Amino acid sequence: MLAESARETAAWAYAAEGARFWRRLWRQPLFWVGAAFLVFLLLFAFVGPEVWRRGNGIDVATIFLPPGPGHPLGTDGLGRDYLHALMLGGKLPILSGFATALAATVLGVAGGLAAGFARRWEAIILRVADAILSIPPLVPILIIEGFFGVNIVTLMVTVTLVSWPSTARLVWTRTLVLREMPFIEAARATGARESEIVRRHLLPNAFDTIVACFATQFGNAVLFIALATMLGAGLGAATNWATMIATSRQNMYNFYWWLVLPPGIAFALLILSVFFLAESVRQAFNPRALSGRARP
Amino acid sequence: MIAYILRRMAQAVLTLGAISLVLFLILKLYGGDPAWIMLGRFATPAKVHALDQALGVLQPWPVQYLDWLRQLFAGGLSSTFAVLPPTILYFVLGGGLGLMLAVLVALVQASHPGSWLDHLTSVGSLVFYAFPSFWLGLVLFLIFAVQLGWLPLVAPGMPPGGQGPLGWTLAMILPVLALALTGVSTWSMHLRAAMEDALASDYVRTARAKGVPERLVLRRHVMRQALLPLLTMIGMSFPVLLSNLIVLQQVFGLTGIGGLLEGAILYRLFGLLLNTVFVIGVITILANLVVDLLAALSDPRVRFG
Repeated sequence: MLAESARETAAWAYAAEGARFWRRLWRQPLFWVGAAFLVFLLLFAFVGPEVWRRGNGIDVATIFLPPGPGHPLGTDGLGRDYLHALMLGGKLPILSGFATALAATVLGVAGGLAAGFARRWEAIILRVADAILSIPPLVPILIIEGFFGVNIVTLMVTVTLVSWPSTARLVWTRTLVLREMPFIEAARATGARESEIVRRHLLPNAFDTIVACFATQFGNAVLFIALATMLGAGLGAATNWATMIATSRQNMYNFYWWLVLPPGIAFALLILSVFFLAESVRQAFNPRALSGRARP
Repeated sequence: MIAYILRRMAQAVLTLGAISLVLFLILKLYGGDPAWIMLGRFATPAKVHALDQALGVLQPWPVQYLDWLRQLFAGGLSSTFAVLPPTILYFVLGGGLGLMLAVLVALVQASHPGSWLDHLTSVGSLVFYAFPSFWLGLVLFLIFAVQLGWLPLVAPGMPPGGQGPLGWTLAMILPVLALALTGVSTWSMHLRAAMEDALASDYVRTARAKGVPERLVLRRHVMRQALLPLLTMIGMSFPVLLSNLIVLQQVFGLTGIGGLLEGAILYRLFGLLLNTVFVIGVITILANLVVDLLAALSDPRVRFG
């Protein structure tokens, strides 16, 4: 029993070792794929409109043109170039998704750590989390929108409030396992304060869970904000991928596939890139010693 | 067992009460003055006051709360109930199909780990996870209904009307499939993990050593072990599935609770909005209750743990 826990402790210490981790990360093909996707999307959304300057000219003579010379992605219902619109439309989903996911992860990790580590908060945090998890996520959004009107900030806040409980639960279960580990006991024995234990021992060893949670939160946040926008409760009139899908829906009886396909593919690329990055971080973090494979 | 059932039902009732209270508070705090909203341009302080009096919104809040509860049972939910059967139909069909697909995929993946089939389904799963649910529905509609013409362009009539049984069934395919696909990726991942756990256990090893055919091993041991995680997973996915259904209803123009909610928000019908939300809450809690009771029935650890 002692030997087992000693091995586990050694494995955890191994996992948290800085330089080795990064080297393992660079070796993962998944990391590079995800990074490439993400960098491409960021350039596409933030630098693209400067490079591809096919303006916002509303030209009724060129409405609904399929992809062709001069318009690689065709034109929309007002004759504007769709590639340009796709580039412009990336900023909002990317930024709002990232901000919401960050907030939800921070909140969730804080809640999960508190619930797992501080006994007196466990019951109430879990109760609240379960209560929130039992509500269909769309409902609070619709209510808020019905009463407060459409607003990016309220949307992001609501999505954060609805999303943090799942992360909190995952971090909580992880904390439960971690707090029994010998190195925590050892840290306490050497007189470390609780906050120090959390910061220097719990957090680094829960890193892979946190990263996985962030990836899930990112996917959820982006899709959720898009969902709300589809229903008219979201990002409003500014060009963004979700509104582009929504407007293409208005012409759903015509086969304007070039209006529908690109935004969806863009969403998928965004979510997959973050997912791949997080997955590669998780795999690089995982102590290979535990799985019995040779150290890379 | 009886004690567990009673305990869960009491919890459910309490939660319902809490939900109704929260919704009512939201209405009172943020709903604004109903007379003011109704009179619009013609509002004067005197008229607003008179109308408020007649509407009964000047009474103390506890009285209004009871009145609101009473109107729920006195016909305030009529429109919601009218819309409920189609919604439940789509929900059950779509969820059921998604579940079956997820079980199939998970079985294939767990029993042939590392094979090309495993990789194919994993990639497919990932793809369906990353694409927006409503977008997938739209794309499927474009391909199969608009371009190829295999499926009808119109939504299925509720109650089934002039399309005839074949037309109605064909029209049901797309919405149900779209809803099913939204859940498959997450569900298959969870189920696969549960099945892999079961496959690595001692009793499966014993069964195989005894010479039990793999087919039976899967059916008798793996599937049973995966039952409890399956039920828990269904319970937890319920809210998300409902949200996806609401959006898909809007995309396809289906009759359902989604349309009701949308209309309530669009036309600022706060009463309808809250009543509908309350019904959604009731359904969610009831469904969770049923799932929990099924879980308790199937696994004694749940009852006594």
